[in-house]
Amino acid sequence: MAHLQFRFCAVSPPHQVITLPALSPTMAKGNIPSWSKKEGEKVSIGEVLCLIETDKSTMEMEVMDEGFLAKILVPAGSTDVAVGQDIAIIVENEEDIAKVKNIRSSDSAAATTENRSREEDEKIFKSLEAKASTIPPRQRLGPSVRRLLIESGIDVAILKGSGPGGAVVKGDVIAAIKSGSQSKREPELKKVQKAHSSETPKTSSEPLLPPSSVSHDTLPTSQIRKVIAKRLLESKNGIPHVYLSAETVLDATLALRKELKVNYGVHVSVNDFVIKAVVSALKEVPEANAHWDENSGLVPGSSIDISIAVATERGLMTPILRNADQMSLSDISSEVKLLAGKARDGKLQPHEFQGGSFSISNLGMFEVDQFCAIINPPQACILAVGRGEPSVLWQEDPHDPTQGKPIAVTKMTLTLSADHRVVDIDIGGRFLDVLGGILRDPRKHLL
Amino acid sequence: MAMACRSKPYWLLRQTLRGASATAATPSSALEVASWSRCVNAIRTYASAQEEQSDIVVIGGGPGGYVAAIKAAQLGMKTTCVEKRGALGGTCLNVGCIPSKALLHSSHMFHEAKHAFPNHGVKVGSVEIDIPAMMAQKDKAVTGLTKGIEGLFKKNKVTYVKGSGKIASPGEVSVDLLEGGTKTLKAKNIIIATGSEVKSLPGITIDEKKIVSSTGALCLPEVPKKLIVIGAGYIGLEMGSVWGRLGSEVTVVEFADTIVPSLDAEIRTNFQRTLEKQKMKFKLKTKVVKVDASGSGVKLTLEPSAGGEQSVLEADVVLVSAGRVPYTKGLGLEDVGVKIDKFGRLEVDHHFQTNIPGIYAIGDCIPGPMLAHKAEEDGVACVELLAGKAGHVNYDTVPGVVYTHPEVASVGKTEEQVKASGISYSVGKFPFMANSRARTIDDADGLVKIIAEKETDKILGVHIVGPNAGELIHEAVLALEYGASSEDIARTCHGHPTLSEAVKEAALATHSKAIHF
Repeated sequence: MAHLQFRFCAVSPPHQVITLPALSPTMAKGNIPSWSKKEGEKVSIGEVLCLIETDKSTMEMEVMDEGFLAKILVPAGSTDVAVGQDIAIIVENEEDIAKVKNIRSSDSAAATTENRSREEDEKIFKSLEAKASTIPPRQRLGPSVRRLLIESGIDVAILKGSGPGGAVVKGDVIAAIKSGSQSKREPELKKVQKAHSSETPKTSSEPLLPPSSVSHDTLPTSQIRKVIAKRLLESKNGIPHVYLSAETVLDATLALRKELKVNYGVHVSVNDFVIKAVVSALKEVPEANAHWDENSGLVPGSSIDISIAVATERGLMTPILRNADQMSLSDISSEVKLLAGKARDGKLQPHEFQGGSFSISNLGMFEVDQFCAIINPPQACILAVGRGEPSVLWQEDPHDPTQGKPIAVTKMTLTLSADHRVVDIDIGGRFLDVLGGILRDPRKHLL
Repeated sequence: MAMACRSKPYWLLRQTLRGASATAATPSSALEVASWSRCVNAIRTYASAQEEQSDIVVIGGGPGGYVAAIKAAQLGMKTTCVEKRGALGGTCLNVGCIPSKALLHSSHMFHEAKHAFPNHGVKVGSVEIDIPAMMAQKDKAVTGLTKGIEGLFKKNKVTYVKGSGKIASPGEVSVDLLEGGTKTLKAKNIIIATGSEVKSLPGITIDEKKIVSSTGALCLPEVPKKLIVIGAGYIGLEMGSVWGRLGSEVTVVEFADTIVPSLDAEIRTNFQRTLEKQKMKFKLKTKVVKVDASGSGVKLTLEPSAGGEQSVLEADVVLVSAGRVPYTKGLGLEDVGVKIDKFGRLEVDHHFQTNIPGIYAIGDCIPGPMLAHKAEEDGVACVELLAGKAGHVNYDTVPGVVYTHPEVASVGKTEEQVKASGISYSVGKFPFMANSRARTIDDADGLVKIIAEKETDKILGVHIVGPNAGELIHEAVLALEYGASSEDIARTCHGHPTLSEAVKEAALATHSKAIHF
């Protein structure tokens, strides 16, 4: 009997209970018109789990953790489901699906072990041993561990627990100290971000790339970063990216911006203009506002929802401007500021970052002329905005093509990363053409 | 199946069905046979009051059995428990743990009254022993508890069948009832919890009068002048302790060169010294070659274990406590084909199932420490597994306690085991002489010893000799369950003044330095 490892009285295998999220601060109930996944199906991050309907809108609920949908607790068509009510159970391992079904559906404990083979049991015990405890680390840390964490400055989130149930024990911290993987909560990263957000009135969105002033120490991998890392890899590997670049001349936009500020006291950033221009361009070229679905192929977007990339301590977040085509320039400006603030405070509601039909990432505050961003699946496009740089262009004489003169302009490079399955290069070309045109002459198009 | 049934109801059914359907004379397909036999079984159930159907039948109502039965009932299973003693609680409640602890306490009180009271300024006249009264108190404790378990059975709706159970076939137990007659119990699963019995030594006949087992030692009519204990395990030492305190001259004869071999060596040495202080004599590395009970007393012929010169030792009573062996007699195991190992233990897998599906076993009759609390853990785990839940016993954290005074308790690995495993380790010790509470009560023999991994400070074993060791050890058991380090215990606040502080200080001494020593 020496192989028996440890004692636990776990009633069920590790599982995650999905509850109905609040789609808005005032939402108390919702309906679940349909489930996009069936019981027993594998679910991956980003996939749609179900639709949630309120009197205001219908939202897709995305899967946040990989696994298998073990049990649907609230069937399709259910109405008046309370916020916070359990709606589904997701398990990590396929073999746990049956167990969860039994536990939740029966209240009689007369089941025998006839259903489970020895091998299944061994697997359960092994996986329970290997899985980290679902209880937050804080509650499973002994005083020696807490002391060592404080003294060493190590972030407990990076530690793998070797204690029962994955708890972090003193030995784990000692080993971490020894291997030199020191990782303090980066105060430096915070400083740099704060500096940038106050300095540049031009833009209120910041990129994921870590500023160069952060030291060589490994950044801690919090859960969010792990998810982001996974999604980025999936996107890069799974979507055939095609890149189209175009230069546009910003002078007219800059002039309009200044005019709005001086004459009307309206403060908008260049990025707000870019967003508005993108929205208008998408209205003209709706094929760029689509996405690729495994089963249905090209699916046109039903609304124009712009995801804005905001870099936060926790990682890259993409709050969404919903129905941006219905927003004015100043609406866009205030909404972006609000969402970016919420993102940095970690207060984004699910509906505020789940979904979106088109993304914009702006590195304009850095010395980055041009870059290629990675698409956020299931979207089809992401626009990478470089900085506005002073340049010299040749302006042709409209009456005499052989004549012309150099003019000083502020140019900006836009790079569209597109899913080539959805966006043919002529669609991409048309989109950038329209977009560039709008930015070159905002008065004509935006007012 | 259906063809094998020969009882009256079956034939009646066949006739009825035959009559009902003229064309279907004989079953022409397996399906028909199956449906007939289902009807037959239904009839048999209703017609026969001599058979009962349960989810689980537990054979044996000791700590393993009754706990398994109660747990099974709590989990919603229809449970029956068969016990032949006429009282529940098994060896533990009737002739083991409970009566021995009662006598240990009573004899301790006598000893304290005689020797310790004057030191505390408590003057008593002459302190005398009233064995019948002592036994009455012990019996009262035992009866109260055994009746209590009957009450628990009623409360949890466990069917209690008084009789000797035998496995007729998988799923069927036949019981020879104490009141006469037999009863057949049908169960989806059978749990064997028949425990253990005293190991008899060749050439020594236990009459429970002059040559006793622990059972007889618990109800001696008078204090023996001279008592010889054969076997220096914890049972022999505890019983020796009882009568030694009450005035017997006790000599312990042991074949091996150490007492209680499972103890940590340093702890064992300390423990032996405390027993010797209580005038217990030890003859280690000695074997008994002859027992002569012909006279009024008993004459034992002893010889060194390795051979050599013989000697004779006389006593009024000889206690044979050379171990216990699994008890599986009369269960019909050979007929059913249940496998037993060379030590007489039932071989089980990690589900506690024997080689026969549907037959499980727990407690003293399977491998593992022969302790009541281990049997209880087995019982709970076995039943939880049958209920489809996860049940598990961590045998590395089963504590062991010796209820002498001072008590001895330990959990985890001994220093010898750690050394043998090659792990580099550190040791922290703290004597009760330096513990405030122990000094205030003037009961400061013993120490706390903690062994931890050097690198990680993870606690590997804790051993205590001292007052209340049996209670103090549980902090260590919990620490082991959580993979705690000695620093975790040291940084946990312990009340003052308590004996537990000795554990805290020993923990401090393990990874750092003790403050109070």
